[in-house]
Amino acid sequence: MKKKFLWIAFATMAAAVAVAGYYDHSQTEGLTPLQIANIESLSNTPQTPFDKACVEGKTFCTPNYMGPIENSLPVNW
Amino acid sequence: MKYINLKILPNLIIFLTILSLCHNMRKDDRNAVLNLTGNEIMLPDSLGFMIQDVPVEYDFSFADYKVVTYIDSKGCTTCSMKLTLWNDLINEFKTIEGIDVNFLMILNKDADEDLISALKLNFFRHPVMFDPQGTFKEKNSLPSSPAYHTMLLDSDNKVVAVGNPVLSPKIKDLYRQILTENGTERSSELCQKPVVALGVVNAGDSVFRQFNLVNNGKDIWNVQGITTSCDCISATISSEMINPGDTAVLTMSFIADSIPGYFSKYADIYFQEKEKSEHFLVHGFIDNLNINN
Repeated sequence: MKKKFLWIAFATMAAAVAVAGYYDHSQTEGLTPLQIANIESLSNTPQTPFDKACVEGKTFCTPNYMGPIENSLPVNW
Repeated sequence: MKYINLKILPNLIIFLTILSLCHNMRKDDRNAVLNLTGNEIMLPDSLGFMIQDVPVEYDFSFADYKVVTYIDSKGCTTCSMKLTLWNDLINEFKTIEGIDVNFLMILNKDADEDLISALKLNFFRHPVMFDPQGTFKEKNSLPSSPAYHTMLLDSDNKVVAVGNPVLSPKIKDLYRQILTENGTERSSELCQKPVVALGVVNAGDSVFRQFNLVNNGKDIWNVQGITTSCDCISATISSEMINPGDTAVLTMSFIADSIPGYFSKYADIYFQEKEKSEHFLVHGFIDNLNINN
């Protein structure tokens, strides 16, 4: 029973590796190394930091004037 | 069977998660890069270049690489501009020797008082294009997300990379890697800001800038000589010897010759104790309005 279980576990893991490998391959298929690096650098970047806070009239900038107060603590304007 | 499933499921999830994270890619990012890379970026013909509120002649395409950023009018434009961060980045990329890098910020707004004030207050002395109709975005079919409105272009104006380098060190590193493939990065050991953007200089005028050279090391630095890129640049240093902890001041003078347009001039200081020189650069635009008048 134990041997059978190990075999099933091994087979499932192998299938998982194959599926994940295929998924990873399909993501990068047809892309140059530079494009892959570019997509990864974009994906590791939060989109539009600061700006949302500013649009919502919150803390990080003085709209329509000097631009963002960089490296400063949030201040209510 | 139920027992087996329960045991295997966590393993399966862990494996899938680990392996699918080999390439962390958002679908939107993938599509944007795929759609934009290789495309030739066209500038609207009808719009001119400005340094703050002064129109300048600028051959944007005449460079090995260009960074172009489009700021749309949604939300707070002055916040999205990130002028101080762009100032630092532009000057940093200008220190890369062996290649020319041009910059352009396109603003989806009229040149109103607020925007001009923001440019002046942040000492932003780099080319800007005012595009209130959004012609640039339309002409180049840019995606709607501002995350893909900044691009690195090659000498043929074709997109090499996408993303805003002032918002992400990852993208900045990528841009730097591409630029340093054909050029050499020069960092100064003595001066934090060895590059200065002068903005618009009238033809015939003489301008000077000072650079502080701080010796934070333990060795004395003896000046061996100073060379300049042209006769229009002269450079003098306040002390021929910089002791540890001391500061010397380099004064660079630039006499604007009569050729209007972009200029980039440098002075190199050689020290006896150092193999490589310290590189100082001034760049800007010569305005020929005075000559025409």
